[in-house]
Amino acid sequence: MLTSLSDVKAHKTVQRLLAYFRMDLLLPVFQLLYFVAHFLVSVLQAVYGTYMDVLQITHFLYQKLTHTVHAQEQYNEGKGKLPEHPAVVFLPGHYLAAQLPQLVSLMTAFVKAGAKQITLYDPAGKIEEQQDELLLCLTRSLPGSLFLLLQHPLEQINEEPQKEQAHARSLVKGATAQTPVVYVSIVNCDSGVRHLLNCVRKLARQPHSSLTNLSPHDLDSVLAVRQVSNIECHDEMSNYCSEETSRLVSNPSCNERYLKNPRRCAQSAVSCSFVEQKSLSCMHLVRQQDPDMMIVIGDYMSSGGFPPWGLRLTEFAQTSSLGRIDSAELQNLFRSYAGIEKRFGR
Amino acid sequence: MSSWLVTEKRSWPEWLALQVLKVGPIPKHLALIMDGNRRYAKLHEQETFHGHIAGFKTLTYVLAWCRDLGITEVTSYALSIENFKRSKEEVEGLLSLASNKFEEVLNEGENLAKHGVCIRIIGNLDLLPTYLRAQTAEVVLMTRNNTKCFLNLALAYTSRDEITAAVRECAIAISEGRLQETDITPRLLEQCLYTAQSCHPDLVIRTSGETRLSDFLLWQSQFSCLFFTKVLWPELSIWHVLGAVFHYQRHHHTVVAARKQAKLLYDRYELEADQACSPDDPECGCDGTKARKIRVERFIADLVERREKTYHALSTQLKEIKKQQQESCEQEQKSEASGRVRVIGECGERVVSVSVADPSLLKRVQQRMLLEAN
Repeated sequence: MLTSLSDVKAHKTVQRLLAYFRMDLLLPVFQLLYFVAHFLVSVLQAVYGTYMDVLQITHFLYQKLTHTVHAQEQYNEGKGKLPEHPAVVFLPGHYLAAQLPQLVSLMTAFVKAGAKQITLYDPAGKIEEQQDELLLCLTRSLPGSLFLLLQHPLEQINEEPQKEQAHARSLVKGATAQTPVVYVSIVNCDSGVRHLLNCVRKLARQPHSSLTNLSPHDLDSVLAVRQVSNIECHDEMSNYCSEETSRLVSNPSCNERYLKNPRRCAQSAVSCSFVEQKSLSCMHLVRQQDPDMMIVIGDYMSSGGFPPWGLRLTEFAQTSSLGRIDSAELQNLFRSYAGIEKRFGR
Repeated sequence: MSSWLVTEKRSWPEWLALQVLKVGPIPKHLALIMDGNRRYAKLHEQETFHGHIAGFKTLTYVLAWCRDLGITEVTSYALSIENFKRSKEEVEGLLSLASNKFEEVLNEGENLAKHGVCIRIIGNLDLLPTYLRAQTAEVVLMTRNNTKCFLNLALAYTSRDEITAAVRECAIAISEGRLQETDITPRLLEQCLYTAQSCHPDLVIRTSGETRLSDFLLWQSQFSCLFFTKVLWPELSIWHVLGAVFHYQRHHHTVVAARKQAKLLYDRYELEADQACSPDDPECGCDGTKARKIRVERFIADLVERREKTYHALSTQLKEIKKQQQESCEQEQKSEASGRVRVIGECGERVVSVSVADPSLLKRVQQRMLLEAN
């Protein structure tokens, strides 16, 4: 805004210059400035790559000093709430199969911080291809936990999820009533849309009177239901021996995938009881909570096609690659999350 | 009285930055979450209402910057359904501010037509007071033929409510036989949303440092570039907006690629729906795809017609309300002339002669005086 006489004069000078040189001659100058600006920022990002990412993470993490201190105090006293359902979203091209160990360590950190459900979103579907290996590695790193994979819902709603959880625990060797259950949900860009369409079709079969009064809460109770199937649980990892391998291969209840890949059988330290349990399918339903926090792995902040219904109050954070999230950064994330004030519209 | 259309001259650094940015891709649709009005008012030791007034001023400036940049569509989160949980005073203040501003829009229809500004209201209008609802309908009808730039105001809006309304429409249509189950596709659901006439936002800006969407355009912003900034909404400057656009330009190609992938996915759903329509079905005749297309077009046309009828009915209601108000004003003037109504209010430092029959309206009148003073 022009606020002084010198500004007005400068503006008039610019106008005269424009008229003299003609706008089309100035266009290449603007184009050059545009590319220079983008080049400079790219150089900054290449040289101070971590700096730029930390800036973005710090932007999410940074609060006023008193607020940060308050969050720290809350976190230390255990009063601040930690995310119970974090989601990790990989934008296209930002997840490689070789990054599985880093993903496992991130998920382990979430579970140790108290997460009860973790959602992974990968539009390319690479994590879905590795889901068995992922669950195997998770159980290796946290042998005391029971990891259950959430998939698409069934028609029938189970009213007693805790009873089913207890049933799941009873199937697993070594699991007790205190064994923590962690739900893992692997989503692709098709999941949310198809699920919503199926819910519309399901709702259409209900009486007309209930449809006219359909509220967001009603739709939420239909959408949020998920099926738990194929209990993936591993006993304590034992040293593998050739006798064990041959027993697994010859066991008719073994999973076909393992039979086709005996090398995998040989390499994974899996006891026979796991393989028997793997062939069981425990079909029950639980209510999936909305993600509390979403970490976007990509060059910019975006939900990337994550099923939108659950993102109502999800806190976003972003980093350029999975490897950049170390334990210190994660602690900062949790500390900041603990201090967030959710007003819910008030 | 402040106008929705602000024209101001740019300083030469702003002008230069604008010209440089316009070389690159400019987002066609910008979505704004205007957060931080109350914190701004608290910082300046003012009442909350002043924060909202300052927030409206900033919105008018942002619209001017968008026009200079070439951003043709802006969606602004003015009032969430969740905001109705606030104190009664604040909610009434917000609604009266909205009513006042819509009244200004109705008075500057020619100016809006000259600049080609089309205003659309998205949200559950049934939750608004009758008069405000009627005003919004009148504003929408008055500006519907303007096509240069579009302003979508989200009033009484949450994305979940919007998606639920779309799902409800589709489910009822299936139960009544106007659609088949296989006709439901993501594109059909999008056409039932309040934002059916708009493209998806390219860039979403949220102020005040919060990093969540708060139930705003969840479906539409799936592949948008999100930009969170710490500045409070009334303190937003052109440089923040230019910075956001610059950020968008740096990742524009990735955003476009992600949108293309989504389009391919949606095309697949359309193909599945076409294939699901059996040629043996007596309703389909020989061409199942054509029959499905006709069903969907009829359904959408019916939905649009119902919404139009609602707008026209509300517009008629507004005219009746205004007529009644005018009549009651004339009666009060007659009463004042006869000396029966006396001065009962003050507004700040001014003593105001107001003919108000009902003392409970005094606060509303005071707020109006405050708005006019600003």
